[in-house]
Amino acid sequence: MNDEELRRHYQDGMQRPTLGVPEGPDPDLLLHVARGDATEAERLQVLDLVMQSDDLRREYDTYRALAAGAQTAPARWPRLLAAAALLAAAGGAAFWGLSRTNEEVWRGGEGLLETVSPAQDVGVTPPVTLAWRSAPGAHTYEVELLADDGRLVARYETPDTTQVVPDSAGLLAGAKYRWAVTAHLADGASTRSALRSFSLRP
Amino acid sequence: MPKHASPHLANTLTRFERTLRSMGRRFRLQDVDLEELVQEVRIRLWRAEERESGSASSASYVWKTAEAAAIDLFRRRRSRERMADRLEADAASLPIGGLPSPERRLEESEMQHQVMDAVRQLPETRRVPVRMHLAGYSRTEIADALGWTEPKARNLIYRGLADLRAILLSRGIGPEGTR
Repeated sequence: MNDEELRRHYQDGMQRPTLGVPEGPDPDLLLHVARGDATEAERLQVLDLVMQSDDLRREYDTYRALAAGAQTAPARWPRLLAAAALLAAAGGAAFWGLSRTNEEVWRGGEGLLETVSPAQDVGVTPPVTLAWRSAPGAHTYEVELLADDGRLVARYETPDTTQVVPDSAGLLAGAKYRWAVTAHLADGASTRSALRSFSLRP
Repeated sequence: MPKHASPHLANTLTRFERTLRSMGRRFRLQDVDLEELVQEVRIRLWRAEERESGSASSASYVWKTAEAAAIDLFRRRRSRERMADRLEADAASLPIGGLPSPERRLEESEMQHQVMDAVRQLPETRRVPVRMHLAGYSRTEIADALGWTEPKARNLIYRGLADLRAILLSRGIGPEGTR
């Protein structure tokens, strides 16, 4: 009997409760196994049960998806520390760290997204065009434009690597603005650029 | 979405759903499971935001909420399934579009029973990777799930399948699947 035939008989058997499927494992334990933080003995014991039932396998796969999704949202403290180090390098960004403590930073890609223009702290004549380098696997880019006091001025989503700030954003001549871009990747992760700033020329 | 859901929570939920759907595709989740879970998480977060504004929209809180919601969801589902007559499941598993002959069904059923029973005879360290392999998981997924290296998983699957075929052969079930 080849692999495919074995698979077919086994998978048909999994859908038939009359073939003696045992009671499922405790959902909490199943979640631990899916997260990968159970012992080898627990993994073997739990997966032995799970792989005898289609319904249990659906549960297990759901927990696996949640565990993988949670990895795209790291704990708050590492996020804040990473952000603080980054912003310190950019200079004068303590304000950002304080004002953004309630923001999401879903970081899952490798490294930061690189911005192209405007260059850091230059004066820009409207219309303002923001540009960045493409990130491998990105399907959407989310651009956030903030006033100098950290207030969100505008947010845009685009599949491109440029975004023209429309007149409707109401940018003020002579004012300073900050911006950052987040790439949303096909595998569900995301990666973000450093916070950049520019001024609008009168 | 209720009027009192903050824009920040709405944004967090959008990101959560996008990530979860992406993970759902990766882990081959069924749409019905995803929809039920997303709805459950939405409700819990709206309620949490009413109680304690702010913390309900942090990413780690959202994923912890999703795990708790999934556990409750599956507990309820298991409870419902226990109450339902298991015999109904057997009837529901019959193929659509023409039933096979009673002899053919009996033969298929007997073969399923033999394969399931033969798998049960394998030692645990071979049985579990073989079960996962037959259920359709890749070698990498099996290695990750068991905390093994990929070569170790591959080796135990290979040996387990050889044992399985030997057990079936000893019962008169050969390469052609006949007795």
